[in-house]
Amino acid sequence: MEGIFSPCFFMNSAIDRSPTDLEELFHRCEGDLMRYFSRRHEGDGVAGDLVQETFAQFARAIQEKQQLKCARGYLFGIARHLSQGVWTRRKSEPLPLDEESSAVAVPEPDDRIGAARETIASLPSLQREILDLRFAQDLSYAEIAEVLGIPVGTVRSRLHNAIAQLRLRLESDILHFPS
Amino acid sequence: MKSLQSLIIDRHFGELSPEDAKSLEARLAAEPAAQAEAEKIFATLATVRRTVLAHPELVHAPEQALIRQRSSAHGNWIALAAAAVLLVALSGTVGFWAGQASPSTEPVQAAAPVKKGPWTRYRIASNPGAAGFQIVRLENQNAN
Repeated sequence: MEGIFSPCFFMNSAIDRSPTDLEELFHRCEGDLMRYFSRRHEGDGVAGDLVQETFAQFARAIQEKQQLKCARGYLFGIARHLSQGVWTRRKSEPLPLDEESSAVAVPEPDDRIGAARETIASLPSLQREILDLRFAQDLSYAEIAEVLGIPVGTVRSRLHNAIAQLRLRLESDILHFPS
Repeated sequence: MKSLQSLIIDRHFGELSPEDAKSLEARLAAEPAAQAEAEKIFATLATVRRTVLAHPELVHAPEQALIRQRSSAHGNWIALAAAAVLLVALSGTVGFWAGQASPSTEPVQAAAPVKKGPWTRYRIASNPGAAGFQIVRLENQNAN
């Protein structure tokens, strides 16, 4: 039997709205979501509240919807929306000086990570987010597609393109600046 | 047809079908060059993972960059307006000094009407008797 937390548990199936499943989903995904929010809003102290709000919105959504493509992806989609809301609110507040200065590039102890950072920073925001969801959150292509509301093929092609660019840069650095 | 790099990336992320994964394994085992290519890609993926984990700010950096871009766009308009004002002021100043520096075509004629103006015929002078000031008509003074 397909588990509730397989990449697309709810794909082509009616949602089981029983509290047990929701509780299980909460227990399994709480840590992932906490990590997701903590990475995005480090120091804000809002991660716990946002995790709660994500599940509250998810519970409301499955009361209304008959079908979800992918529970985990949908959950992270809600999380992303909430995270963006926090950023939008923060945009209206002036950045503290130390935060502004942190935007200035600092030398990396590892040249490869420094080069990779530069390359990632030059990528479009969508590709950066795909990289984050894949490497930091370990979401599948289908889950990332659900989170971002784009086709799976687009996720795959953007991810591959980003990795190709990074590989080009990293291998070029090795050729020109061998350690 | 998928490139070797795409197959290796997909396999790394567990996104390859079992048949394709099996086929890729066979190819990597048979071709040392393909195996070497795979190792390079794995090295890249490992570096990317470390970088992404070490730099969570990269996710929302575009938003901030966008804000900076927007504010710099506003700043550009302000800079353009300031430049236009400066240009007008500069051209006015240059014109003024150029006018001062260039020889006047009618130096004497230009001065003559001034003498006939109302302010050339009067001046303020102290009045010792009244301990104040009085307006003196120059024509009368000259006549005296």
